[in-house]
Amino acid sequence: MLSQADRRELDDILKKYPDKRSAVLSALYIAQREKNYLTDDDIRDVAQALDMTVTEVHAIVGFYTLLRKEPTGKYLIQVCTDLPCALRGADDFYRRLCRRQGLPPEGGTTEDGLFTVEEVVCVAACDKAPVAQINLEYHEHLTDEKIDAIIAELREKSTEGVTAG
Amino acid sequence: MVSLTIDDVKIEVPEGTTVLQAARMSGVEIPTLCDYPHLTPYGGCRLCVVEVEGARLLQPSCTLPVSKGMVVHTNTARVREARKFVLTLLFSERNHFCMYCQVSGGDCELQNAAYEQDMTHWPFQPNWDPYLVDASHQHLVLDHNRCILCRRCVRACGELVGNFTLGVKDRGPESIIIADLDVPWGESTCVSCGTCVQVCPTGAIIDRRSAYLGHEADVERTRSVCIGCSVGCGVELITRDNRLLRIDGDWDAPVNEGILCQIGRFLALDDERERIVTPLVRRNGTLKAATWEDALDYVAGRLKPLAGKKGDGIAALASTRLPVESLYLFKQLFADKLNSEMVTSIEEGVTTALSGKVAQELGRPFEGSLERLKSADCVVAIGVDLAENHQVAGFFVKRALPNGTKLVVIDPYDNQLHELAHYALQPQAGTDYELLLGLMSAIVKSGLSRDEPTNLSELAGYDPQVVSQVTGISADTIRAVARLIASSQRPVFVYGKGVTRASSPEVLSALIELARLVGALTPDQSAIIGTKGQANSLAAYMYGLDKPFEVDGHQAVYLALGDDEPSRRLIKRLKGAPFIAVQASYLSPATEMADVVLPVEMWAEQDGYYLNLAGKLQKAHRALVPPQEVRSNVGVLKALAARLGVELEADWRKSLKKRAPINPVVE
Repeated sequence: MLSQADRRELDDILKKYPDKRSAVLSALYIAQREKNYLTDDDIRDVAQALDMTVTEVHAIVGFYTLLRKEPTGKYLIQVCTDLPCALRGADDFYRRLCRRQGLPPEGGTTEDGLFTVEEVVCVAACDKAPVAQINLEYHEHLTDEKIDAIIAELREKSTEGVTAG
Repeated sequence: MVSLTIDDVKIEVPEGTTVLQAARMSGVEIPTLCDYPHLTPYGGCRLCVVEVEGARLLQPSCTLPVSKGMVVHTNTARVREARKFVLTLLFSERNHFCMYCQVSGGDCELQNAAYEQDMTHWPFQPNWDPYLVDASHQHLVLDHNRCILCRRCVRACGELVGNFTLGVKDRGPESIIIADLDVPWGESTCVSCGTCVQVCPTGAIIDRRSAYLGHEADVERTRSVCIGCSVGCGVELITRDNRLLRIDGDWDAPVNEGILCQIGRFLALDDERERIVTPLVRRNGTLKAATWEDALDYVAGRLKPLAGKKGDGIAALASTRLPVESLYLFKQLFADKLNSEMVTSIEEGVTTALSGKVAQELGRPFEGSLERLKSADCVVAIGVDLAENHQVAGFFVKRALPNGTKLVVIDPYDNQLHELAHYALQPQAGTDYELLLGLMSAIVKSGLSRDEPTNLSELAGYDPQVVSQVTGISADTIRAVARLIASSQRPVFVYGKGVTRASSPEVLSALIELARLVGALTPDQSAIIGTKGQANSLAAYMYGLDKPFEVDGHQAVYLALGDDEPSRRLIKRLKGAPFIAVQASYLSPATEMADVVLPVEMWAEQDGYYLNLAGKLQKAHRALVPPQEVRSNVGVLKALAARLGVELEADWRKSLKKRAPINPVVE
C-alpha cells in the first residue's frame, strides 16, 4: 500500500508528465521500495493513482525483472554467477553463501524474512568479482568472511531498529 | 489524400490509412494474425510485414501509416521468407499440433496462414513444455498451449467492452494471458460477454458448448436480432442440422457492432425448459394432447360469448418478447374486435407508461438514438444499472471511460457502475427530483446553461445548499456535478426503471428539463435514452398494450406468452380464473394452470420485427425449423381470429406510428 509520504512523492513526479501513465515505473519503484516486492494491493493502488487498469499495471510488473511479485527479504542479495564471475569463483561463493544461510542452491529468503539471496546474470562489475548487489549497494571482491560480516551487520542493524522502534 | 504504389499499382488513400488498409482497398491481400478490423492495430505477430523501398527492414503493414510516394511490395521473396519464419516461430513456441484442436481444419487462422504460405512442416524443435489450461470459466476454456499471444482478446476486452479483465503477465516465452491479477478466469471480474472467443484466431479460447460440434464450413449462419432486452443487438445464429450451436455478435450490426453480453451470447442457449410440441386441452382435470382443430375450437368456443363484455369478459396478456406482427394481431383481435378493455402486455407498461405520458405532454418524442452513447463525453445514468441489464449499452459507457468520458451515476440503491463513476451519487430514496432541480439551479447560477430554463421561479427554491439537506449529497458535490455536466460537449442521459417506476412523471420531466438546459435536447436531436424493458417493450407501448393487468372478474384469460417465462406474480394473479388459454413455447407454471395450451415458435424459430429502445425497427430471422406441430405466433392468432369470424388487418407498420411516440420510429 502507498503511504501518505509515498503519495506526496508520487504527486511530485506526476507533475513532470503530461500523461499520468508515463510515471508507472517510478510509481511501482516507490511502491516496492520499502519491502522489496509488490503485493496485489500495491498494484491496485498504483493503477488507481495513475488512472490505469489493474491488468495493465500487472503486465508491466511482469515484464520487468526488477519489479518483484514474490515475497522478498528486506535485503535482496544478488550474486552474479555468469561466466567471468564464475571464473573468479563466484558460483562456488554463491553456493556456499546459500548453504550457510540455510537456503537451497536456487536461493530464497531466510527464515527471519530479512535476506533474499539470488543468482543473477551480470551486474556489470566483472572485474571485481565475486560481486553482490545488496539492494542498491555494490559489494566487491567478496569472500565468505566479508559477506558474513556484512550480513551480520545488516541483521544487527535491523533488529536494533525493531527494538528501538 | 496520399498517393502510393502497392505492388506496382498506384493508389490514392486518405491520410492516416495504414499500408494494410491501403493494400486491401486496392485488392491486395496481406496475411494477418494479430490484426482484427474492429481492434486497434497492434503490430505483434509480424505476419503482415511488407517491403518498403528505401526502408532497411521489413515493415509491419498493420501499424505503418502510408506516406507520400511510398513504394510497397507485398509479395517478394524476402517477404515470403519472413512470413514463413514468423509462422515457424509461432508454431514452435507452444503446442500447435492440430489433430486435437477444435478449430483446425479450416477455422484456425494460424493453420490457414501456414497453408497459404505452402508450409508443410516447421524445421524447429517444438516447445514440449505443457502450459496450463484454465477451465474455471462457466462458458469458456482458455488453453494457453494454443495461444499465439496476439492479444486480440486483451484488446477486445478493453477496447470493445471496457472490462479490462484480460491482460498479459511476464515476458518472452513465459508470457501468458491472465485474468485480473492472475486469478482463475472463472473467479475474475469477467462479465462473460464472450467477445474474446469471437476474436480468438486459434483454439486458445473455445466455447464449451459449441466446441467440436462443427466447423465454419459445416454450419449455417443466420443474421438476426437478440431479443434478450430492448437494446436489439445484431446476432448471427450458428446452426447445424437444425441445432443452435452458438451465437456470435454481428460485426455489421449498427447497434452493437459485434459485441454481445452474457445473456445474448450464452444464456439464450441455456434454456432447459421443456418444449411443448403439440396442442394440449384439459380433459377430466388433466392436460391431454389434442389436434389443432380441437384446441382452437375449444378456445374460440369459450371466447366467443365473452366478446364485447367489459370487466367480466376476456383479459388478454402478451409477452413483450413477441414480434411486432404478433403484438399487432393480438391487440386487434382482443382490443378492437373482441372489445375487451383488459388487453395489455406482460410488462404492464411499467417501463414505458411514464415516458409515454411525458411524450404526450411534450407533444413529440424526446428520446434519441443509442449512437449518441458511443460518442458521449459525459454520461449521466439515473435509476439504471447498465452492468445488470441492457449490458451492451453499459459496455459503450465503460469502454469510453479511458478516453476521458465522465460518468455520473445517480441511484439511491446499489449500482455496479458506482465504482466506475467519477461521481456516484446516492441520494436519499425518493429525492431524485430535488437532486435534479438542485443540479439545474447550480447550472443556471454558474452561467453555464445553454438554454433558458422554463422553470426559473421554481429553481429558486432548490439552491444546492437546500437540496443537500434533503438528498444527503453535499452542496459542493452538487455544484461540481452540475459544472461537469454543463461543461461537457456531448452529454447523454440514460434513465431506467428507477425513474420509470416512480409514481409520478416529475422526475422524468426534470431530467428532460436538465437535458434541455445543457443543450442535449433540441427539436431534431436528443441525448436522452430510456432503457425500457424487454425486446418489444416500446412496440407494446405503441400499440397501447401498457396498462396494469387485472384478472379479477374476467371469465377468460388469454396469455400469449411466446417463449417468455411467466413471473411468480403473474401466476398468483391467474389463480381462480375460470378459463385460461396459453399460447407458449415451453411448459411453465402458466401452462400447468391452463385449460388449453397452444404450442408456438421460440425466438430462434421465428421471423419478425422488433422495435428497440431507441425506436429502431429490426428484423429477426428464423434460424431453426420448429417441431412439426408447433405454429407461429402470428399463425395461431390468425387461426383463432378466423374461428371467431373476425378479420384482422396485416399492415402493422401504419398503426405502429399512430400513438404519440417516446422515440421516433426508424426503419
